[in-house]
Amino acid sequence: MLNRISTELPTIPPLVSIELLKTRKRRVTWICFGIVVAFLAFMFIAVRVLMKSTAGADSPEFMQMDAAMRFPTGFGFLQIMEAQSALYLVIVLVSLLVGSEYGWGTLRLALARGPSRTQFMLAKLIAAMLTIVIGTAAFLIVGAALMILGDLTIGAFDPVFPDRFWLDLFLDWLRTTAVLMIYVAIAFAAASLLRSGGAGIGVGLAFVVVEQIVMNLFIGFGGTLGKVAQYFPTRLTESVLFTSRLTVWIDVEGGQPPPGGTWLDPWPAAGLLTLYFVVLIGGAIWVFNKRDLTSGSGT
Amino acid sequence: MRINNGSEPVVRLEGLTKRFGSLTAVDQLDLEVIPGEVFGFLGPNGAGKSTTIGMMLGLIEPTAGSVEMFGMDASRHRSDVLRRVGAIIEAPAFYPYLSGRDNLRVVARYSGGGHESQIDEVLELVGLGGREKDKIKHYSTGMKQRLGLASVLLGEPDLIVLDEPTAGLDPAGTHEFRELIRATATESGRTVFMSSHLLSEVQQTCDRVAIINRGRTVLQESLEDLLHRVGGVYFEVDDSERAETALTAAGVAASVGNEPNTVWAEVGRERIGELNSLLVGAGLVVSGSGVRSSDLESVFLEVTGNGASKEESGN
Repeated sequence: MLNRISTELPTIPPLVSIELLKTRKRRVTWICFGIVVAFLAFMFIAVRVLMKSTAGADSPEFMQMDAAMRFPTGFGFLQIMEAQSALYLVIVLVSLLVGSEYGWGTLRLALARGPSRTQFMLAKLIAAMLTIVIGTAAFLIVGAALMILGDLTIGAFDPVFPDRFWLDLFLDWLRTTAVLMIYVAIAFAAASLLRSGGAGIGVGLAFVVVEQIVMNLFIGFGGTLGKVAQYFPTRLTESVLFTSRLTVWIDVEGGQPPPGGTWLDPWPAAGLLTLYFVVLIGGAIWVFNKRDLTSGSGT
Repeated sequence: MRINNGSEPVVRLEGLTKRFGSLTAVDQLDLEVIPGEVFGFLGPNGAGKSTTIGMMLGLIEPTAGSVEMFGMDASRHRSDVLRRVGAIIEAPAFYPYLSGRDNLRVVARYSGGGHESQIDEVLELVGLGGREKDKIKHYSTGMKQRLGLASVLLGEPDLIVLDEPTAGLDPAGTHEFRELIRATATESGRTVFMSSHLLSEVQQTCDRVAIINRGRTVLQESLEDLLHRVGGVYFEVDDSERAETALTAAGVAASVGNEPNTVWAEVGRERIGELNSLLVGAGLVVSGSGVRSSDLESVFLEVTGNGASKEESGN
């Protein structure tokens, strides 16, 4: 086993570089990035400017929103947005990274050149995870730039950094990025099992929506079902994230668990998310290794 | 790790079998490909050609039998074997949003890297120099086929596997591609394994052929021997059975033809006059004679039962 790992691992980096090249050159990557930038620009600049002009600079509504969106307090707001919305982009990007090979028939081209199926899938997984890491870092950097631009636009640039701010920012970025990996695994498994990027997106997004509905129903029923809800992936990610120091600091839903239901502590929740991740990825790779790649399979 | 000494087969398939549920797509297939030859793998649609190639390349798991390439068990030494193989499986597949050059870079890295310096050379070789920066989605079918061949040549593989390589090309493109394949084999001494259902293509390109039907090898020999062997002449006579007897008595392999009053003799055209005299001398009236077309098409139709095959889901 160790011998096999030692022979297979060195060949993975070139495969990862291929996947990153493909991700970089694919238009949908930049469309997703453009959507994020446009959304952040809207939130940090347009909304603040509009609200200041309509509600007035002294109105409580404007002051509350302005406080949450200033540099650097706006990082907490960014982190909440990322935790709540980035998963949709993650599902789209990862599904296309994994599933689109079937549509183009390039899967057989790749595997006929020598890499093993496990190497091929691990390279895709690593590339997907790296893309998410880079993407979330870019999200913070672009967000910071837009926060500053927003501050300058309304004449409110006056940054104040609390103690440990940069360390907390880093740890929260790490935590938010880590919990997104469960959605990487869901999209990865859906796209590879269904042999289609589009199907992966559909199933991945449907899973998130249905899970949310069922989870809320279970929490509403309470009792045993309520306890079952704490093991749902999204509930587990919330368990990991609600202790975020940044959100505590800006006092936006931070530090307190959302109301209703029961919760696992952050570390057991993180452990369970890791287990789900391993099972989903392991299952997808196992099935992929067993599958015949005939033209009839859509490749 | 190159152990090929020039005499052992580059490819050896033994008892290769693939079943998809109740359907047997490939059935106890035996095959050998000799180093340096252009080998034609023929069969009607659904005969099991693509499934066989899929098993050779590790894309499809055989139900039984073995695939040996370069003297190695292909399932146990998959990566070592495939790094010496360049393949186009059905239509060449590329990433439409990448340029021709980037697609070749991808292929080079899939092959273990180290071949990226050859990209310019192979692009020139297939006539795509100057178009390498264009995205694939702007390539014509012929350009994609050429890029496919360029990708195959990267890394200087010992064996080139082409599955229906001219599918979708117009006649001029087909001719050009065939010349490229032939030149590649002749100039570099590489072995080419080419599946096709286009008989003229195989006849003009290949040294040796195997014909499969319903997943089984029905014929495997050199094209020259094959065409020579199946040549023959026919006579239109007033009594075909008496003519057959007369020819057989003279030591000629003969048979009554399907057409009325026709007898076939398995001899070259140079013996038509001699056999005509023999039949007339036996009291038969000979009203016509001719040479049986000895092209691959007639052989193919004969050994595959007019090209009939079953549908094959995996093909």
